[in-house]
Amino acid sequence: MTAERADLAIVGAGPAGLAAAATAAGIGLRVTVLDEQPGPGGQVWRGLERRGGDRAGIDLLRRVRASDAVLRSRTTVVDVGFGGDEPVVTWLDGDRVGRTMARALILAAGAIERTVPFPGWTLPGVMGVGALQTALKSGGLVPDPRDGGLVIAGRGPLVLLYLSQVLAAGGTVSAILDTAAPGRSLATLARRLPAALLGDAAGFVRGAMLLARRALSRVPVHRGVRRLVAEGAERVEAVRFTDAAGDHVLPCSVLGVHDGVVPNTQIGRLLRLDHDWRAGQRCFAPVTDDYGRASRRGVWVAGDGAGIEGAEAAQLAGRLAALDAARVIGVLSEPAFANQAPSLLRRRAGLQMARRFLDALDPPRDPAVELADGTIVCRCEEVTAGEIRSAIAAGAGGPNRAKTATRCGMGACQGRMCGPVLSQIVARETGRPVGEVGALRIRPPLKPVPMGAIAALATGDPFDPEEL
Amino acid sequence: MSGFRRSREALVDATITVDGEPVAAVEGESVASALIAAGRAGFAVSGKTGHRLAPYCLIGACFGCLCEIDGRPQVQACLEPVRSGMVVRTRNPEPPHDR
Repeated sequence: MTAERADLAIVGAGPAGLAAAATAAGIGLRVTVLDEQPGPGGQVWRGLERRGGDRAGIDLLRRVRASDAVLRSRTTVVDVGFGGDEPVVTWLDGDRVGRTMARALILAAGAIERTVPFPGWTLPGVMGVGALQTALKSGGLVPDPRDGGLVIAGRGPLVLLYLSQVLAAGGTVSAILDTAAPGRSLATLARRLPAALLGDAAGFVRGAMLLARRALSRVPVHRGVRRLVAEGAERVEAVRFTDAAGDHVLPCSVLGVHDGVVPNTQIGRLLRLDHDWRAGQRCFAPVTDDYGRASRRGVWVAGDGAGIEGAEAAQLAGRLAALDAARVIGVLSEPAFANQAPSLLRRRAGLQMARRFLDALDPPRDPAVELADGTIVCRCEEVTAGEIRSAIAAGAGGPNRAKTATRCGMGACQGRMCGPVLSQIVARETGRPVGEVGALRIRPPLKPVPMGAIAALATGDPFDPEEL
Repeated sequence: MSGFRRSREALVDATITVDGEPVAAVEGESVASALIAAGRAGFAVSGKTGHRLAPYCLIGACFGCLCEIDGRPQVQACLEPVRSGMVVRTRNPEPPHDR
């Protein structure tokens, strides 16, 4: 077993994690970054080293590589705990286990696509638009127009971004089913627009260009789409939906769905960090201060894992968390901190205004409302909404009791996909706020661990930080 | 029928073995991506309903792509880069052919 010591351990090598690592290493902290993807960059900068990409990302990575920081890719965090006051991260690299003990821990685990179950969503060929983007970046996969091709059903910036990327790669998209709700309050939007424009003018230009590209592409768009149903025998063959004009069926060989992204809170939940329910983004997120400091000493959360703000804000958050951690450890003086932090906070505040505008433009809906009893909520254990509602009616008043009663959230993904939906079903059935209903309890290991690795942890050289 | 094809830029330069059959792949892409491109998006058959289980997220969250890779069980194929010569076993009782 590898046992190492660092001043700062960072989980995640996306925009927040890389920015935190570059900043901390620049101050002179010993940094270890743990990331489970094949290479650094996170999702938004996937393939940064293999394929190149975003200039800010390449610059950050170059700074991290040039420093003494240890960057461990393909390394999965399986447990996080405390040795005395200090965070200890247990990880798995293939069959090898290791432990990193640090004086401070920054969680920069990013976001995952929001789960909104609908009939047929477990059929092969139905995937998140983020997953389609990953397949495009990873293996150059573009939709094949035969058998109906790709239909995208969703909303939000990622749909527009993927459309532009897949068309540029020579792919075709058969139709877009826009699931954003019509009839948003124009007064609210108008009130938020000036600050949002000032906060992220570049972002608005990018958004306008993506909208223009969608219009130029002549991909048919159906608006106000509801009641999605994926149909097929062995895999998806058609999508059924309703809009203002009535009911429709479109053939398709791939159905991409997207309802925005939510923070990946798995490690924070394992650490029992305080989380609250963000009504505007309909997600749980850890409670932090402006610098990312969480409710347990020695732990910071930065980037989309602390609430969705996008890649640019994530870099600022990563830098702020690293500066604050360095200050707490005692490596960065108060004046040096005060010299750097305020301008980062100001820039981030502008981006947050723009994000609030986007959130108000297209607020996420409660996935429990349209959810039919026959629809599978938990993919791993194939538990339906009806089974969950029966368990709640029989007295399972919270997500953890509903899990025990139905096995929803008990499978391999450990509730990553179904957990937030389960909480929202319980909230709706019991008439309580989601924040009060809470979330699934997360326990180690966070991912499957081979028995040999567990044995190495138990019987290998005992972890003794004094020896390091 | 996989629903996908490779873009012009993708260089198919690797071969892996999936359930005993050769599958063309791109060195360094994820094993899940290679299986999806080959029309093998059903990675397992559920014991509960008999439905096919398939990858959904491709970023390590949904666990729909678990398979055995080079003898290691329960590997998330979306997190595993392809190396030519890899031996992959899906959790299907018989090798699937989507059509």
